[in-house]
Amino acid sequence: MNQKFFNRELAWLGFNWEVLEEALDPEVPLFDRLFFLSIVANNLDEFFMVRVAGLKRDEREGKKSRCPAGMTPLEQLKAISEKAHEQVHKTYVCLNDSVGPAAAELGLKIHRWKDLSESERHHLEYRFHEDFFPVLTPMGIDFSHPFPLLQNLSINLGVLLERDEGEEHDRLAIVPIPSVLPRFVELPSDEGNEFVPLEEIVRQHLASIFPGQKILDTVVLRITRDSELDLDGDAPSLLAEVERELRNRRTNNPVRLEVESDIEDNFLQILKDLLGLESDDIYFIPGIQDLSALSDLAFLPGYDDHHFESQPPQPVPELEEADDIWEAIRARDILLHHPYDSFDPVVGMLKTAAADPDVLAIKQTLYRTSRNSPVIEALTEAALAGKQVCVLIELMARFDEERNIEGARQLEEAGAHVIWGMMGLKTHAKVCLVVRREPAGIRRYIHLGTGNYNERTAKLYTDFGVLTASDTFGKDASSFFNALTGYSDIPEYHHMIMAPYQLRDRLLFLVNREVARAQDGLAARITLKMNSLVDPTLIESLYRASQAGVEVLCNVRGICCLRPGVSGLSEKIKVVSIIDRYLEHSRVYHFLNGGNDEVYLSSADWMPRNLDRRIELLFPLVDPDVKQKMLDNLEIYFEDNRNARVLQQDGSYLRCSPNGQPELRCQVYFYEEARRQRKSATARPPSQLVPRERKAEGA
Amino acid sequence: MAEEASTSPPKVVAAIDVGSSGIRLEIAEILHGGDIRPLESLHRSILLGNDTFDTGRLSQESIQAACEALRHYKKVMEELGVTSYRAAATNAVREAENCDTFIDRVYMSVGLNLELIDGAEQSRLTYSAVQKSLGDEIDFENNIVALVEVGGGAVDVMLMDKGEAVYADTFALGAIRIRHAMRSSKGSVREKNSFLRHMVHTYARNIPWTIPLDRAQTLIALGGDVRFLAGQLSPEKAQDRLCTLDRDAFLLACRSTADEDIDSLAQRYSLNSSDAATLGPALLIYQEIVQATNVDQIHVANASVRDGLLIDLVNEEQGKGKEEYARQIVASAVGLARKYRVDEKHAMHVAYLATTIFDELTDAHGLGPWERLLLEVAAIVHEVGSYVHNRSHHKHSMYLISASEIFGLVQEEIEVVANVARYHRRSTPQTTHPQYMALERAERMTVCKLGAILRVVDALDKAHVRKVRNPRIVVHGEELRIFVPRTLDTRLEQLYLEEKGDLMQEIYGLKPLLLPSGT
Repeated sequence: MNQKFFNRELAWLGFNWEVLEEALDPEVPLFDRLFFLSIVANNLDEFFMVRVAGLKRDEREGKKSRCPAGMTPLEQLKAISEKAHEQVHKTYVCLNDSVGPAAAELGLKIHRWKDLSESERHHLEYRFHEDFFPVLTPMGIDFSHPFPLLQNLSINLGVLLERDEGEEHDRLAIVPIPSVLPRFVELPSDEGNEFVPLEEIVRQHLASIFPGQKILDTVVLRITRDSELDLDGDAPSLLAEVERELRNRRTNNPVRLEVESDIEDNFLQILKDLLGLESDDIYFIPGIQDLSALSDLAFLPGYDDHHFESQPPQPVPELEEADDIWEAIRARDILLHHPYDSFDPVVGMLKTAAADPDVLAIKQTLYRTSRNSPVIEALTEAALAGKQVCVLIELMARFDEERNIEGARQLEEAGAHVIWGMMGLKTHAKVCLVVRREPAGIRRYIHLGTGNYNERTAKLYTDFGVLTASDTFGKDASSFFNALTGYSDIPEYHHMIMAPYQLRDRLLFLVNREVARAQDGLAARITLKMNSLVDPTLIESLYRASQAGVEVLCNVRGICCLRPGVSGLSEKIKVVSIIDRYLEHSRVYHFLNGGNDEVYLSSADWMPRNLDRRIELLFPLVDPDVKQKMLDNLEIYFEDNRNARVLQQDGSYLRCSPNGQPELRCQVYFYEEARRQRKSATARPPSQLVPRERKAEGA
Repeated sequence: MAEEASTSPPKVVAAIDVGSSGIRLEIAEILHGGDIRPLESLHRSILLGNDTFDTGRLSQESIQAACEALRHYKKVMEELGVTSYRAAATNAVREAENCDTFIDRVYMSVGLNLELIDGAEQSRLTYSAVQKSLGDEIDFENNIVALVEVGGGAVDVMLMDKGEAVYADTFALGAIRIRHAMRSSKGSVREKNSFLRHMVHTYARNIPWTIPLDRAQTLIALGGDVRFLAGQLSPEKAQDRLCTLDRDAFLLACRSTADEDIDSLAQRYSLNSSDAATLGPALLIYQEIVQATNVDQIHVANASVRDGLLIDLVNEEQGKGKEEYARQIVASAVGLARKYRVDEKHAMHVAYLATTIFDELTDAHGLGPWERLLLEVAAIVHEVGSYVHNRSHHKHSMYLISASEIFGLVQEEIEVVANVARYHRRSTPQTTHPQYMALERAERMTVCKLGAILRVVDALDKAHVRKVRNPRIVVHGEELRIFVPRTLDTRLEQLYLEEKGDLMQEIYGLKPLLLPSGT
């Protein structure tokens, strides 16, 4: 098979494999390896819930249409199953043979019941009866009825009970392990951290749950369900619709079953029949299930030495030293590079705005928020202070819906104008606008970014943001919100380019412009950085660029369906992926434009969903200093020789190594750069001398 | 300067335009020097023209949609602290039978005061916007400039000679109107397009017949459709105030765009279907107009009625009125007079004498510069009725003026001018005269005060030979003394003055007398 495109699901699995590589890398600190394992597992969970579920739906509905890589849904499911099984296997090899034993040596132990001492067992028995038993809700299974509504991704104990006399079958009962309880129960221990998985404890006490019944077999199992929200776009109340769908998410079709690897055949058969799953959908787990829970253990206190060196986000000198944040932004556009630069200025701007009597209005989009989000907090305060606050909260941000509904309610109660998303389009653009009345007139302050307004992920994801007081950007931002509120039709912007309206065409235009230059024998170059490169039309345009002689450099962290380096097709295209401690999340697009460089930031990846079914923004960097800084950054992204991987013609990644050159790891480089800037700023002589007075003694 | 700024932030003002193809809002600040700083522009494609040009009435749905849009606008205005605004409705509202109901609904349910503006006022607003924004690029003073705006319901054309509006007219030939007339046509896209071209051609012929477009040396085109075309032909300049296009490229693009099917236009340019539907007819009208000129280039300007309204608000803020446009208004009146072959020298002389007496009577009439301008206009056009017939020509003048457009004057003002012209001879205003009684009380007083003066000065130039050149005018007791050289034989004028001084005596209590100098 030598298709023009890689299959996107397999490309995604390829990316997850690279994350797993980080967990396998002995040079990565142990507890970060543990964390990478939890990420791999968590990624796979989402992949099954959304992507595999979607393919299964297509398959069930008899869709035979082929993906751009030429595969039918069934072919894709087969290939996915094969790779996913391999990944699960490798994950547990890593955990059981390498990371697990090494962690145990450092005192982090996860015990099985058989390893426990008498007194430890006694302690857990006590805890079971006191704390766990009252919360357990076992369910009997009646074979003539549908399988009970086991929660998606929850851990359960399947219990096979001997049939009563006269009954035809042995009976099956399910004991869900409640997610409100701690997954890992701590043992009293003097040194280190020792835990027992909750399901292991419950398993030992089944006799208390099913008194007088003979237990034939037990197995730990976990079900993954189709979780894509299937919304009726015309529903009168989107909120009610999302809430209804969230309830339903627990009931949607199973797509994967994870069971202990030593499950008996007959027991497995019963489960398969009940769930309607094929052998390909069964994953035998040689150890603890649901490794996403390892993220809790990875950040236990006391293991700082076994983590990447701490990199506290640096304050931004221009803003840190300013008495007046507005004045600082007016003075020049400010580029923020998270997590190296702190996200505090963004939250700080909102907090300042909320308390500033001259601020008339704050308008903001929210896609993913954190629990107790300080952003929502500041917006609430602003609304309570009587400012016009308009917030667009995306209700359909996958897996964050419940949290977002909560935040939206809070804002609405405070008097903010809350828009509960757009009909039929997810709002993914990241904009914040503060309108302020100043002596010289109305002034607008804008933050535009590639990442969410989420101070928690801003410490883990790499993103860019720009703070500006530019008048034209201000007008654009106002127009954008006027369109979102439905107060105005889709506007013509000065700078901003909006999906699903002009974004796709603009990107094509920008690529084609380079093509035309190359055809005229001029220098032409495209440098792209994004999470996913999937859109077939845009990939084709890049192929045309390559064929015209345009140099195309892509930094695609995740899915890349573009097949690079194929002669006659894509030989001028190089694709690099950087997988490191922070999730590469920024979207930066650079076009040489005959030396008059154009650099854009965006909320959008090059995926059909971003370009056609979402509200996204692309905006140019107009401040020359900011633009130059970004060009420098982009260059570094392609000089990484430690954590970069180069995508090969066959879809595999080849990890870079310094090969005798000085090592350059861009996530370390950028952090040091941020610190250097901070230092050089603080090293400047103070603008005013402050005499130190001796305090009066005895006071 | 900085201190002044810190005491009072600039005033935030707004202009709303309720047009036939959309409702638009422009919010701006008036900076201390009087400059306008735009803040926000909003627009909603609500096609009021679809109703009016089809059924003659605005539908309930459209009224509701318009009210909702205006309510939203009001919210945005409040958010930015707008302190004064102008909201203008053009022909789609003006021509609707239920126009008053609509305006009342907007007032009651939204709280915005909509004013109706006619073609002439629209032209004045547009001209003031164009002149302000393009004053540097286009030499209005040494040029004959045609200003063309194709809207949904009408085409406004103005010809400016040396900065003066010599011709200004509104043609009921908008893009939406044409689409409506087309509705019943059947057949393939090609057949329909050929029918469309034929229809536009037939209607648009009127324009060069009325206005000598071939004299234009510069053509400025305005409006959303032509701006769209400019954006296609020269994307990098789409946002600029001015985008200059080559004649041939422009004509070619008009033709090819008009030939395209509405759906494919909508899809190709991501337009909503209503914008796509008006594009073809609008561009065909432009094509007709451009072909009637000899220009090599088309200047597409980014200026609108809303900008004109904002300029009015600035002038208001600075205590200036519409007198700012005196020159254009007078030029437009002269254009009208010429159209009806008035004795221009007599007309101008009467205007001169009338304003001279007006100035002398300032204390007596208490009127301001605006009314002075109306008197001047009335004096210039008072004899247009002679074109129809000399008998009762004052009555012919009245209806001709009523039905005409004079740049810068709104319909109510035209009515005042028409009445003043009517009373330049024969009967004085009577309560039995319907067109006089149709005026507001204050306007009737203005008519009487201005009419009284016009009657007197018309008597002074009865012979149309400008005998009375530089009279010295003095109010003395109960006499209005007009001193002329001793040598002048003014027996005829004396006679007429006896007869036509009646209103002067009634209104001002002054008896006009022609006296030889030195007495």
